[in-house]
Amino acid sequence: MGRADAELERLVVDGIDAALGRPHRERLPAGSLLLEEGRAVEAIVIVLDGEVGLRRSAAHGDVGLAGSATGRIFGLTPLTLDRRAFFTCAAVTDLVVIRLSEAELDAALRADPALQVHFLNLLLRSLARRHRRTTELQVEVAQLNHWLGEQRDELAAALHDLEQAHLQLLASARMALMGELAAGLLHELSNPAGALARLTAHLAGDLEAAFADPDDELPARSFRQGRASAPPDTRSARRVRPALEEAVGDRRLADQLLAAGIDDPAHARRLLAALAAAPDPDRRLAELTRCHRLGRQLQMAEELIGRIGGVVTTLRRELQQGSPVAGDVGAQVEDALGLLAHRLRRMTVERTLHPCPPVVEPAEALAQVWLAVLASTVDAAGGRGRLDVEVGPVDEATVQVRVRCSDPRAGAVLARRLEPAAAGHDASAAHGAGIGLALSRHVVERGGGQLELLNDDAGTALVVRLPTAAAHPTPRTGTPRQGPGCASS
Amino acid sequence: MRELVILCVEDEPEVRTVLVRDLEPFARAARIEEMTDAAEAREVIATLATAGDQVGLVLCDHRLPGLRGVDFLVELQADPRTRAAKKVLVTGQAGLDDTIRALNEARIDHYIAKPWAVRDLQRIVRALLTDFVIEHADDLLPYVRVLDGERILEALSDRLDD
Repeated sequence: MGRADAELERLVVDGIDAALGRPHRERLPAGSLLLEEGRAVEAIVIVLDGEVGLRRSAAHGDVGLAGSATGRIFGLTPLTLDRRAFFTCAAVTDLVVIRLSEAELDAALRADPALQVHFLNLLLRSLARRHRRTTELQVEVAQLNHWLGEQRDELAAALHDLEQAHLQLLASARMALMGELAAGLLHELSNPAGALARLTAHLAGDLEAAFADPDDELPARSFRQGRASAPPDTRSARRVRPALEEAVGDRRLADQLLAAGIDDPAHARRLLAALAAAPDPDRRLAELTRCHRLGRQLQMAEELIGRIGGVVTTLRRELQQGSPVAGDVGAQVEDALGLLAHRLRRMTVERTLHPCPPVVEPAEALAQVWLAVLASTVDAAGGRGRLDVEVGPVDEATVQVRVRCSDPRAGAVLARRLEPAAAGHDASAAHGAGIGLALSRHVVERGGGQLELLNDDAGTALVVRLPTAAAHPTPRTGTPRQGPGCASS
Repeated sequence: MRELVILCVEDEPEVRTVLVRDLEPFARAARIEEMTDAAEAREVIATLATAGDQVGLVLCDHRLPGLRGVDFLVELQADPRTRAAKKVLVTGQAGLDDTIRALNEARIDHYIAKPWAVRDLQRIVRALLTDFVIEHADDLLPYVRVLDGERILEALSDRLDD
């Protein structure tokens, strides 16, 4: 309140005193209510001394109001409008006040035209102050709304981040569970697979010994031929069968000779001539067929056991802490290819693995990335065509892994899997593609690298670039940390 | 019908070898032809048709190179040379959609999950081949000892009554 207001108030009080013969000065203790919100106002109150506070009730509690907008005369607005107080006015300190009824005010104003002017002037100044305050409040409300909008946007972004973190957590939990399952499975597989490999080797030795006969070398030779034979090729067997059938004059006999590993007509004729001298030629041929088949089946069993052993070895290395391939990206990618061997059988895989300097990101997290990148690409290509895997340094600061399939349509599938929303429910993850592409990109970017998708008419490539440890020499301290989706064993 | 043939379409040599070995008890009733993929199977079917032999049963892997097994069985169902053949999808990986398609469009007669139990495989093959020969073979006698003899003898009896 400015000096002009104080001067006007003094003039008004002087005018009232002159007109009404100095009305009573009332002393009120602190806490007294001058006006009560919603209650009828019967008199105006002129505060001559002391401080008052204003408040108005709101939905969530009382709101304190600035008294500067009201001046020192209270109750004018209710008297002129609906006679009910708009806010509560209470004494903050002890007060000295004058109370005037409407009739007393009216009488004073009628008695002194100068008082009318002063009172009107004071009233106008009070209204002007209130109007200015209202405008200021509108500006404040606009600013608050803007601030609230910003807060809301920030909150939405935080919520989105939280959702992503939650999805990552779910994926991590799933991978941890898969890791535990894999560790259990590995334990169950490891010993039988090892024993099976040894048993097969012993079986081969025992069979060799059983067939060894200086007077009859044919069974041992058939067994060895079977064991050394390439996987049966149905097309070539069908191609040679007519000539064999023509040579021996019987289709079933030709089939039996093929089963005994004999596909050359001249050889077949010689063998049949030799068998003709045997006491029971049919039985002898059946015996030789059995020897060949034993060898071939043993060879297949060894091949399958070798495949299981390879998976077990790779899996064990993946699950062990302090993996021996830490930092060696080429070896990590080789391991991932080994784990996915069963899905690569129908693809032509070309590996170009150059020695790489160590990278920053821990091997456990990267192992999941390579698995996801390879498996996603294989899936997107439908498990067919050509797969080029290139690993090598771009320069001293960067190592690059490029996985390219020959199917340009794979790009659309991979683009979808790279979207963050795919993180929690990536179908590739559900089918053994590790943490999925979206989380892999997060892991790579967290380590200062990049994961991008390149697509052209000739194919689709996922390219991962990682900073080398030399480019980022800050050592990671403590035990290797658990990245998102790392299998825990 | 000159000769009854069983087709085994499977691209993994080890699995195919085991499958053919498990089917050995039926070798006296039908010739077993093994092949790696659908293209090779088409060639074999053409050769068999030329020779007058008849495909009685097709055992087909689902994950074949270049074509899904169910799609190949749908193709065989549309081919007059193989429509009558009994069809079995052998797989561990066909999804629900593929299985529904196999049942509705390829009219597959059975679905065998890998790894199979040899007894189940032989029971299914025996039943399906028996159905086939009863429906299509002029001379049932050669199959009495190898397939379901009781049903074949009943069928023989029915034929005599007719």
